[in-house]
Amino acid sequence: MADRLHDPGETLFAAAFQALPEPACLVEPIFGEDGTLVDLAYVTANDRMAEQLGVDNIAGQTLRRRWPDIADDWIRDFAQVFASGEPVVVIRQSSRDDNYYQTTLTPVPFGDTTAVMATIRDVSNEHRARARHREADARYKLLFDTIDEGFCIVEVIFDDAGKGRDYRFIEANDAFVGQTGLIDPIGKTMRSLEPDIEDYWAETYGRIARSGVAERFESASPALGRWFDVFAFPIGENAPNQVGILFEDVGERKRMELALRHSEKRLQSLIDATSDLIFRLSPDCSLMEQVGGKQLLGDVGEQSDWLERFVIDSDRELVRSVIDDAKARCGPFHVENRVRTADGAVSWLSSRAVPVFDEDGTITEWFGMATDITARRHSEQQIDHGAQMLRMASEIGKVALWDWNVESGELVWSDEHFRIEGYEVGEVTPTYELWAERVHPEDRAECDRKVAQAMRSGGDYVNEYRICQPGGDVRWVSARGRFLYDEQHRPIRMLGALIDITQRRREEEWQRLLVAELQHRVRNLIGMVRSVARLSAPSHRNVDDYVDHLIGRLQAMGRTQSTLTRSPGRTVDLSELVREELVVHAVQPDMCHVDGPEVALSPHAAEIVTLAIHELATNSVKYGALGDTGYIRIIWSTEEKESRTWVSLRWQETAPRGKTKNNRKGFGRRLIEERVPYELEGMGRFTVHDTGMLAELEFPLSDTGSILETRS
Amino acid sequence: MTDNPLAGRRIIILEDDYYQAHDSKDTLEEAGATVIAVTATVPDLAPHLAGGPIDAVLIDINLGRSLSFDFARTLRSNAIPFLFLTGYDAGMLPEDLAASPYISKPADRARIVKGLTELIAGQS
Repeated sequence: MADRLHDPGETLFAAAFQALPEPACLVEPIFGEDGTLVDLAYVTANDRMAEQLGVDNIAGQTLRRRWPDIADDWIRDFAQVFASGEPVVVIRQSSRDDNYYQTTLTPVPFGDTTAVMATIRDVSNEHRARARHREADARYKLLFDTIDEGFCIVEVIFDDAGKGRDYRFIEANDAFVGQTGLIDPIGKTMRSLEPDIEDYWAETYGRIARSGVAERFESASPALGRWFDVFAFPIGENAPNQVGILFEDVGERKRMELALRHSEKRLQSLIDATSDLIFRLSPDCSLMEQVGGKQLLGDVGEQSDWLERFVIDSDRELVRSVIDDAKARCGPFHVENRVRTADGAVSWLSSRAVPVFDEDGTITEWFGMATDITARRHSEQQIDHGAQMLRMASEIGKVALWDWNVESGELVWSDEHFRIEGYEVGEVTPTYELWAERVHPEDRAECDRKVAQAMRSGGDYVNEYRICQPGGDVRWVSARGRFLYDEQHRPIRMLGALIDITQRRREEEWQRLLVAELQHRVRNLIGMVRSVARLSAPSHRNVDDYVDHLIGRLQAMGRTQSTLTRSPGRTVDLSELVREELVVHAVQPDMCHVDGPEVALSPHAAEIVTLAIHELATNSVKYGALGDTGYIRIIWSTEEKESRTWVSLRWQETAPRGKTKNNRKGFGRRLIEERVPYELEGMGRFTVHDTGMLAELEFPLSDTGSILETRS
Repeated sequence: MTDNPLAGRRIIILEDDYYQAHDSKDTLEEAGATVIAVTATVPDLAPHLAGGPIDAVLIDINLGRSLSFDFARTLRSNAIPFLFLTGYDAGMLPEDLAASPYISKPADRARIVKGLTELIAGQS
């Protein structure tokens, strides 16, 4: 090929070739026997090429010999040029300097064959810039798909009036579907994906595309059932109708915000509606500000020294100590105290407050509420008063109270209840059994029955029974009680009261006996009068005499009655009885001698002795000593016989001269000789001597002496 | 009433009041009865029963120091008829004796005789 350089044209070509600013060389193909390209031979190369390749002269050398390592690659590229007859551009990184070189292989006619001119250009900078761009693209794509926000690029479709009507999705990231619920949007329009989409979306993007001004907004899309936070921006002049949209479905956040707003509103309503006072205090609790609620303190104003202004003097120390304690603990406090409100009234407040801390744990304020408890305090006071009055009343009225917890068996007695049961107050723990123990054995079954009946029926327990006190004292009590029941009508408590009615029962019994006795006595008296009248009759022939005697005897009986009535001491003194009878019969003291120990006669015996003395005195006046200048000795003595006290009474008359003696068995004699043995279990003798009459009465003293046991 | 409605009847009077007892005795004897005992205290029946049957007992309830109800029960268990004669009301009688024949004081003689006659007639 060197001989062809002599051609002037060739020389010109050579000069031009040499003048190329880029490295260049001319190679001719070496074909194998089968016509395939097997090697290339360098025909010529310019100086830049020599520099580029780092060789002095390469002409005449073959590729395989010179660069055996890379020959095959290049031979393949060259073969393509020969085959196509078109230039081929190859960019390869140099193994020598790591630069990128662009080699342009251009076929050129060379004699009757074709040679190839290879020119080399360093494209390292361009290549690296492209690589960086590709990398940026990849990063963008990665970002695009990995962000949580939805991102899309849309092309706005305008109506005739230039208003955005719809938009087509050009690009959308992976998050798009999750954020919108729209599937496979690329190439589709919004209205085709969601026909009901609100108009303002297209209008907004249209406006952004036209104005070129990005917008940030939040808006709900009822059609999608979502709420979006959107940043939309124009893509730029290259794509005038395109808008990039970065958005996020903030429905959850919105819902939470709404819920928070509702909750705050409710709290505010609560504060407004509460009957309490909501307040806050300065960190040292000295200043108060009303936050809401009722104006329990009147108009508090901005902030005030509440301790000095509202708390009444006598409660201030208490409140201060409670607050100091809370401050020391950094914990909540609760205090009940009296306050003087702005209008001067005094009321009770119950206040609670809790400290509010900042991040450092320092108290920034106290938050609390106060309730008006004036009514409660008053009712507590009234209950106290009521309890005190009940206690007083039960003590004064001697009312014993009980409270029986049926379920637990616990029984509470008032002080009086202990006393009535014969215990010291608090000496024992009351129980039902303890109570039953004191009930009189004869009344116990009835008491149990009445308690059980009241419990079953729900009616009042009303009972009168006896309590046997330990000293043997038996007390009658009247008890009334009532059971309390729960919702299932189970008895839970029994409350009751009882009073001592022993005195009343005694009086009633006394009265009952009196009435019965009075009836008995009146009837007996009539019977007696009849008997006396009949017995008096035989001894008198003369009616006047009979009447006198009868009246005398009835009067004697009457005297016994009046003596007994006068001295309800149940006994009659024998001496007194005798003297009174003598006085009635006008016996002068000088005519008689009365002597004997003190003897208390039962009413029954008194009645008989009175009648006997009466008869003896009457007889004596009529027939004996008293009718003359005689003398009477009335003497009695007592003697113990067979463990009973016997009284022995003698009536002895001394008459100065003999007088006709009535020896008939008259009323008086029968009284002494028959009635005394019969009724008094004693003896009676009636004898007449020459010197006078002797009557002897002997009978045991009865140990009973009740007024109710006499008979008349 | 015949002249001797209680003829041959053996009767005991338990009465602590001498006059009443005396009066009752006269009454019964006039009506033909044999009053086998007049006593102010509860009597021992055996000696009286030895002499023949006791046809009736006239009883006062209040014997001064005691009441005669136990004696009435003894009589009832011995099938001896008795009649209460008392100043008390019938309400005074204890439950088991509430149905016993009863005459309230003061009672006239005819009433006592009639009561005892009916009592004895009711037994035979």
